[in-house]
Amino acid sequence: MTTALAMPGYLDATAILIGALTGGLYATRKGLDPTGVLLVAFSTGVGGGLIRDVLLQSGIPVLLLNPLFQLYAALGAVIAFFFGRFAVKLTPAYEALDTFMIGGWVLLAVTKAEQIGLGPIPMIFVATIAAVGGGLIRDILCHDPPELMRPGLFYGIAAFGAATTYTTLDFAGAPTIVAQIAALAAAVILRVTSIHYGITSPTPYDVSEVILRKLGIGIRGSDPEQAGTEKTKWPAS
Amino acid sequence: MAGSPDLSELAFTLPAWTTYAAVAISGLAGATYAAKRGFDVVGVFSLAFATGLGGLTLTGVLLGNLTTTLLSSPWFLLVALGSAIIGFFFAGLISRFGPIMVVLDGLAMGFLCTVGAQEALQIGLAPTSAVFIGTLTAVGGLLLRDVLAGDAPQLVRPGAFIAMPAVISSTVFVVMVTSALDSNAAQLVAMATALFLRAGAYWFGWQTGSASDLSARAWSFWSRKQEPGIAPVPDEFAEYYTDMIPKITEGEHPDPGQGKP
Repeated sequence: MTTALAMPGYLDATAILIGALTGGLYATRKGLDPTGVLLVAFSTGVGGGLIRDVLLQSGIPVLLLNPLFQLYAALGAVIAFFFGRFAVKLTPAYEALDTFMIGGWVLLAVTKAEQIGLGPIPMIFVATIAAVGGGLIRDILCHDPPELMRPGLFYGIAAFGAATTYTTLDFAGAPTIVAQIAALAAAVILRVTSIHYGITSPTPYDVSEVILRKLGIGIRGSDPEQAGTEKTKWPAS
Repeated sequence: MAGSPDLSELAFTLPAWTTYAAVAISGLAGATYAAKRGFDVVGVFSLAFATGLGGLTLTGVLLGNLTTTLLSSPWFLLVALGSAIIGFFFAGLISRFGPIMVVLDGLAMGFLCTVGAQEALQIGLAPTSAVFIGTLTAVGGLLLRDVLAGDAPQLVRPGAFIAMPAVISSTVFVVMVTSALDSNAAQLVAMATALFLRAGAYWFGWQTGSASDLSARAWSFWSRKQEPGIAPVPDEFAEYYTDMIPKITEGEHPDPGQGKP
């Protein structure tokens, strides 16, 4: 295992700015007031990093130590509030950046987890949470069903793929820079493939139904509606 | 505090895998819930992790020993992962074993209460704090599950007993341990208490009510005392209170597409 490289500061800053911008635009579209936009933008931008720092418990969260990070988050909120219509026109640009930032968040988190000496599986766990945390907090604050968990384009899967790629390569002895580039590429490839070919994340496949039917066993309450096992149907978004 | 045993030397006789079993049971419940809600693979895994490890994680964050307990070994995460995978493929089967899951869940809840309370007592917190930490360890996963899934937490909705068994079982454990009783016995008693209350709530329909307003009743009682013959004042706000409580039933959810263009 090679020693972790220090992550460049602008990676954190870009991740926070892009996160805040997407969160702020989401809040603007929902018609929230200035406080709401600021709150949602701020928590989307810094939420992932904050969760990461709380889980890793390595002192005061970076967000509080670097006032510039708070400035970037506020900047994202201001742009989203005052220039919403213009910012929406740039959607492809910041969606592309957002795709890169999945890998960015993962790299920031795995590097930090590695520094405090966690094993591979906890590293993947913390990195995935850090990458998806911002969007999750945004949905909780806006009281929407979380986009992360609804069947749709890969986001959580991309984050998990990037974290797994980095950790596997790193523990297999690859140079850190190779592992980092591979992780970024993994996230981008997974996300872009999903968007381009319209592949959506799979929903639970109930094997028990199939097995029971094959065996010809009918157990009490095998009617899904009676057993209360019918799924919520999401409207096509 | 005086009279308390040396807590650092207490050791449970229950085997070490009991903690993993408790995580696995809660994780299975979380994964089944996600499958029923129609979430995708990420949702099933997130909710299995959140429900299984949520309580222990919150406790670890509060007590400041998360990285040395939960994240130091891969086993907790692997157990949660396993329960997520089982939940992904066998959600239908698991949801048919309602009574068994209730029993297992009651045992797991009691066990998590004792684990959290024991951890808090070991680092020298007050008994009341230990009860709080124990309760949080037991119900934190459930709370996190509902918050992440975007539901009104089942914990605070009127309905089946959930938090009460955890509070009572933590209290029983902390009282028994601080009054110098055997901690193994205390743990078993606490687990039995949680199991009894959960199972009782399931089979006998013990439910928590919503907030009831005593002011009108107190007023009418007082006025009757003053002038006998005056009819009790009817609770004119009764309708208001019942309206305040959103009627959320299992599986129902506010319009998912709301607010989106």
